[in-house]
Amino acid sequence: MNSMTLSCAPARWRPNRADVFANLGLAVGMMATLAFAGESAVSLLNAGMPADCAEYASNVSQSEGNFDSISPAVNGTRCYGAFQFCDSGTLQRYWSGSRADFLSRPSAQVTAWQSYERSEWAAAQKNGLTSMIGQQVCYQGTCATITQSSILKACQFGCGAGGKLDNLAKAGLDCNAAGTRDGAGTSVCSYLISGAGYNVGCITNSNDGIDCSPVAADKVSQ
Amino acid sequence: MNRRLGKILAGALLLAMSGHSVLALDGVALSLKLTAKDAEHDPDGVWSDRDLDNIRQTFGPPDIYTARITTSNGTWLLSQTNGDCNMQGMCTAQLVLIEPGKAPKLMANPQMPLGGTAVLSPDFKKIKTSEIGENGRPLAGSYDVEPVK
Repeated sequence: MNSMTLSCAPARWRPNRADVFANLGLAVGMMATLAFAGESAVSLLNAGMPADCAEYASNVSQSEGNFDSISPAVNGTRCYGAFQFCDSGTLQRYWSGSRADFLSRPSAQVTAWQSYERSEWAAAQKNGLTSMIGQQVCYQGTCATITQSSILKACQFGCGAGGKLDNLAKAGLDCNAAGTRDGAGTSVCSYLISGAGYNVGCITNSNDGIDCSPVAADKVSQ
Repeated sequence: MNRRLGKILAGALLLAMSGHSVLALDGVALSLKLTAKDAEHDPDGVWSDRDLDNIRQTFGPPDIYTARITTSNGTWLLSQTNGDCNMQGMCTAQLVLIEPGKAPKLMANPQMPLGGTAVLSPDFKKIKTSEIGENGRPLAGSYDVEPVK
């Protein structure tokens, strides 16, 4: 009786195809998450990121990649590292060495990122986008006061004339205004809010955010 | 069946009216080409002299890429510069509708690869792009085509 039960049990247990595919999807999703988990503030500090920008840079990196991340090729273009600089011209603008050297040198990625962010900040200032700092933006029930880090993070949507951030400013911070969403339907307002409150002093030379990292706090106390 | 045939005919009509576009499966492709290198002035007026000067000061010589199609309701112009690109190299473009006797209207501002291709739907209500998302992965972008204030 017992042997009969044991021999039949595996046959009864066989999962159906839907379960197998669902589990496979979960496994792939977890692997993808691990592959693009982003760098921590500590690892960025170790790579030479200034202490005051480490928390913000880590926040950005969470959406992008790790120091050794290489994206799949999209129309022949690949993107590299913790901030996913793509070799369609952007990587070349901020790094003159080889892609392999860029990947193997976290300090080079940190330097490139700072240079990129300074350019974006300069563009935001020239285009009058920094005038939004201090104003309140509300989107889908969440509100935040716009800070320097909000602007820098939202520059992912473009911080030049005619970009989404520019349109939002012209529309009086109306998050439902035309021309304020990216191709996936994400509002620039969500980036203004999620990017708010970080210290980005290493880019802007002033701080309107909050220092969260132990090293940055230590630096302030000194 | 009739609706599909109608779409194909509409696309073919658009293609016939345009010298700068290619018929795509779901609309008309606007393929950006470099039309003004190191520009101080935009002949189409999409980018102001100040915009171009800001790009020059911040990033270097401004280049303008354009594509256009002419249809029964006007000319659709897609214009892009090399001065507003994110880390993935997706650069802001402006889709402008130029109707006879009217001021040009900004209708969408997609982000797309520099000199890339966008597809305007046959009913002119969507413009679609092939982008790279911030995680470096492909992103099929879709933007409403509507007046942008």
